[in-house]
Amino acid sequence: MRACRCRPPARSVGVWRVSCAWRVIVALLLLALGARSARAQGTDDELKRRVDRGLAFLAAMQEKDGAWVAAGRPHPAVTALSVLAFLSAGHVPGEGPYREHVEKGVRRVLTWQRSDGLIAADEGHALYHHGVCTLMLAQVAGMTDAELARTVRPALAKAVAVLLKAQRPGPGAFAGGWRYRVDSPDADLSVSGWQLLALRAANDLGADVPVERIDAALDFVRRCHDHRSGGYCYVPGGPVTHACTGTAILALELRGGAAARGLEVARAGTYLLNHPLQDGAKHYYYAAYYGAHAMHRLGGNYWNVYRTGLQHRLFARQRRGGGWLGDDGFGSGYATAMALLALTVEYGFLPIHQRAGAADEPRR
Amino acid sequence: MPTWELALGADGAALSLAPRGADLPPIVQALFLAALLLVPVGLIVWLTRAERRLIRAGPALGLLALRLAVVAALWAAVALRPTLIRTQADETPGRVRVAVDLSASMDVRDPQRSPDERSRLARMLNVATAAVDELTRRQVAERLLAPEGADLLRRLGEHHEIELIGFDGSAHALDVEHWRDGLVRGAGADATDLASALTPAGAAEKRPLLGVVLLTDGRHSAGPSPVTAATALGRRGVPVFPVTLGSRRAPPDLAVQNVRVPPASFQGLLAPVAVKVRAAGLAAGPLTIEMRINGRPARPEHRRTLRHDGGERTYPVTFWCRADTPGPRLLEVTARAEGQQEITPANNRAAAVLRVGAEKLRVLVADGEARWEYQFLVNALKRRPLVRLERVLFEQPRLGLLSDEQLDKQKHPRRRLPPLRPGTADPEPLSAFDCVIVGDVSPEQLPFDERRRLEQYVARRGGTLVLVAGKRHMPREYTKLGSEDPLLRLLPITAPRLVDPKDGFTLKRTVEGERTPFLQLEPEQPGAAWPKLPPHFWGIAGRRKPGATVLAVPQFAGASSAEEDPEVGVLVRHAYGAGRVVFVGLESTWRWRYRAGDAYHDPFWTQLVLWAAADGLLPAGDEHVRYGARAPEYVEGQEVEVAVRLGEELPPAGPNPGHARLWRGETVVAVVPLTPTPDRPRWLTGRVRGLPVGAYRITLDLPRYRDRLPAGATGQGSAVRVVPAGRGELFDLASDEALLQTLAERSGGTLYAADEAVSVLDRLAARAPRRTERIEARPWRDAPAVWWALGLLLGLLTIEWVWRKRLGLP
Repeated sequence: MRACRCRPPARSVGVWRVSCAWRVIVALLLLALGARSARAQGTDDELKRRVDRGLAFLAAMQEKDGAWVAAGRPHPAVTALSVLAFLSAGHVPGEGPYREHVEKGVRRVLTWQRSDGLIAADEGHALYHHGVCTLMLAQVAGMTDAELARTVRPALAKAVAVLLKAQRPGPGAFAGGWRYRVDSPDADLSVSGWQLLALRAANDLGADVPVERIDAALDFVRRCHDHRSGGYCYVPGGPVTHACTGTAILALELRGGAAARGLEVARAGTYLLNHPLQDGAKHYYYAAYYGAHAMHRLGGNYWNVYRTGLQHRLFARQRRGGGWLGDDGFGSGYATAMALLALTVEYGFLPIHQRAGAADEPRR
Repeated sequence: MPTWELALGADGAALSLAPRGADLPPIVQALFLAALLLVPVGLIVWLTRAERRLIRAGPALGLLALRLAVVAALWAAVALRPTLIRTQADETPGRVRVAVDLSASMDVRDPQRSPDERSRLARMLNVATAAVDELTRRQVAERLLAPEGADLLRRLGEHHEIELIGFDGSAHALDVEHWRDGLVRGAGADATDLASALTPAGAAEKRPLLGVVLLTDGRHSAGPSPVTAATALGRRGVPVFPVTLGSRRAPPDLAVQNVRVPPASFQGLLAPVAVKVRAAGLAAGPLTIEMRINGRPARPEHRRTLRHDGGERTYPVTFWCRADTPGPRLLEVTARAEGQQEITPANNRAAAVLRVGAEKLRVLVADGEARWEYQFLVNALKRRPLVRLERVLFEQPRLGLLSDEQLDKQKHPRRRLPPLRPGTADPEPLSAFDCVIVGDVSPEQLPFDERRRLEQYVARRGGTLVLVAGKRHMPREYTKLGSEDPLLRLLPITAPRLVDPKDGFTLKRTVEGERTPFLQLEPEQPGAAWPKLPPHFWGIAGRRKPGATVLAVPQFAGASSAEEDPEVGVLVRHAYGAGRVVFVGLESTWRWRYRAGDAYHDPFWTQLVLWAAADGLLPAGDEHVRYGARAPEYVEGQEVEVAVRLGEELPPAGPNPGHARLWRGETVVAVVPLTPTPDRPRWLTGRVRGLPVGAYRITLDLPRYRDRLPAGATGQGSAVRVVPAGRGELFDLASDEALLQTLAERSGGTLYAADEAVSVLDRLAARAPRRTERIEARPWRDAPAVWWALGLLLGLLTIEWVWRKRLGLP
């Protein structure tokens, strides 16, 4: 304001006012540009900050017995997803501030396992619970202390046996797939995606999963391909969805080899870019999770383009307390876990999400 | 009463008083001393009062004063026992080492000096300003020492004994009387080993070493790190005073600084050839870099044109060399700056030899359970076509759906180490592996016999074992088994302790770590990756065993370098028998993937495996004996090491197992006696120095094994090349002040420019050891002071007697 004291002669007051206004505008513009530039530089730090806030929120949501609640009751799948979210951010058992949250979550999931090996709280969507919980156990199995490992290992073997039992036998359109229940006669890509990930993770641990079972599951995935759009359907011949297309890319990538880099996978990636996730979409966080992991697998520009939109949308949806609000009736624990799993894909920590045949690309 | 000491001036003189009766209680002593004084004083006063009746008051008081003075002097001498003290300091001559760089880079002139630099140096050297640019660095050093210049040698010699040495690739003593004759280029002039000038002389040191004056341009190009040597001198209290010759600004020059190739490559693999080209003092314009393989013209993909902007720049260039057939490749890289004048063309070329093996690397990874460290490691190695990976997972969630044969077909991990095959020609399947990586395995999973097998795999086969720490067992569970357990013997550390700070820790490479190939995560930017790596929250650190090398230490947030213990490492390696063991005290190298994908994690493990295999890559022989030079190429003047590895089926070598012959064409040029390496009975080594430039063939003559080796196993010959030196010496012609500054700082010395070299005289003079002597004179006892004191007393008594007689007193 010192410049304003040396007031010019009255006749040039107009010029002086314009000049002052101009300076103020330029200063504001420079400030705005600086802030924008600082924000751009800080995007990577911002990701970490937002993930850390999300984890703190998720930790606070954990029940005393180690469970996370969805739809008003302790929920095996959401508990497993929450544990996976911590693991995906590098918080493994025995290390860091969330070690106890992770261990308690694992122990609670084990309590849901029935004597026949199924891990579920209800029969309705039993294999959703079972697939997610089995995947989580397979990811955490090698990382627990020796005592917990002695419980996890047999539980995992029994869970994998259930998975194999529940796989639809051939022939038919649903052969190789899974549905909500062990004895369901049909199959869908959404449930099958979790079982396939769990089978692969268990196989990495040394479970003797026959290769032909995984091949049969991949055949089912291929049958869900929509040749016209390049995307993948919920069931063979059904509607194409963002989440199912992401699930299919991830599933085909697991096997590595030609299928992982084939034309079908590339077209599916293009489908996801051309049909970005829309606000208000059904199963928003579910689709964000699968979309993020699929595009990260494809890497290159697929991921670079997808990542920008994904982070923009998820950052905008994060609440002040660090969590995300659920829109599927599963509550904020579920939404937060899925959002964190989507955002932390580039951390590269979960073994199940590493590429089978090629090196993972850096994100700097 | 104690002894009192009163200072008598600044020169250290003092008067000490030691009252008698110090062994008495203080009051008794005071009464005793007072009585000693007051009784004679009382008698004198009584005498004066008597005399006052006979003579006038003035003479009476005069006599009284005289008598009191005598009594006081006697009392002081007898009761207080005064001692005059003075200190005398003598300078003891010490030894000063003057080390003169005689390497090839000292033959360079520095016309690029600034006018100020030039005129100051001219004054110091006592030459005309214009003549300075005509002097080479060696001539500058000569004038600094010589009487016609700064006369340093004589001036130092006035106070100290001079130990004059010249150094290049090695150090040698120079005759102080005829020192000019020694300032000539020697055979090793194409390398500079600064550490050799700082290493203690072998001969007995009669006088203490006060300091090392290092006349050099600081271009260290060979030998161990001089920083380590300077630090060691610093610990002994011996400062290094480097005097920088040359200029910080490099003369106009283009140099191929280095050509780096992996320790070994394998058939069918693309090997990166990292080249660094340095341009300084050149005008802006194109620079052409090309690489020729085995003397053939450069292919188009092996030629690059760089746009030089005229500044002082180092350009990294990477060529890729595909090796379709096994054998060595001579890679020659040349750099040209079209139409530009350079100070020397000798550094425009550099070469390296890439050794290409024929077979895949065989790696065994064993872990207790598939923890993340295992899963990411296995995936990284599975991606490499040159690695043939086998896995052991002791704990697996098996369902019993597949038979062992089916699982083997699926390349499923096994649940135990490959079993022994007694009665076969090769009973130990572990010997087939180039590298064995053992993770968090419990002592029950790896019983004593299996641990013993691992020990033999390392010690006898010469394999490389990598032990990766784990939260459950490795290595702390093994410390309960007693120090003679094979696994504890294999570990390169003792006293493993948990490192799990709340805020995590990162790794800091040691000097040795920075030189370790598998810790170069970004070959084109050495060291750049390490500060970017995320922290770990769990690790095991241990004190290195004697002979082990710490490669990386834990670094804690907010802790200073002084708090780091260089002896306690997280990454430590050591040689064990014929092989090597690396300890990785982390189970979270997967954290290096944090938003970096496989950029750092993958190179670490792949290069570790390559490094493990490269050491055993001896180029000639068969399955019974492998032999050859340890490196495919040596620089002229460098010692060539021949190594022989005998197979397990051959008995260990005795004291004189035989020798190697080096052939040049059809002529034997050297016979190298082979000796067993301590603790490695099946490894024989021999060394030869002074081979001229050229290509040689090595054959073996092992009389003891002659009957047991098939024809041709030792006679087919292994190739080695000796190349002209100078490649390392002339990479960069600017003086390396940063290195010299470090040497000075680490040793407690000071860096001087050539034009301020005489300042070193004052620094060394201040360091000359001084011997201080305390000389005491007791005037009541010690001659000659006692005679002076007695004379004074007698004089006073005589005056009193004469005066009394003259006054007519009795």
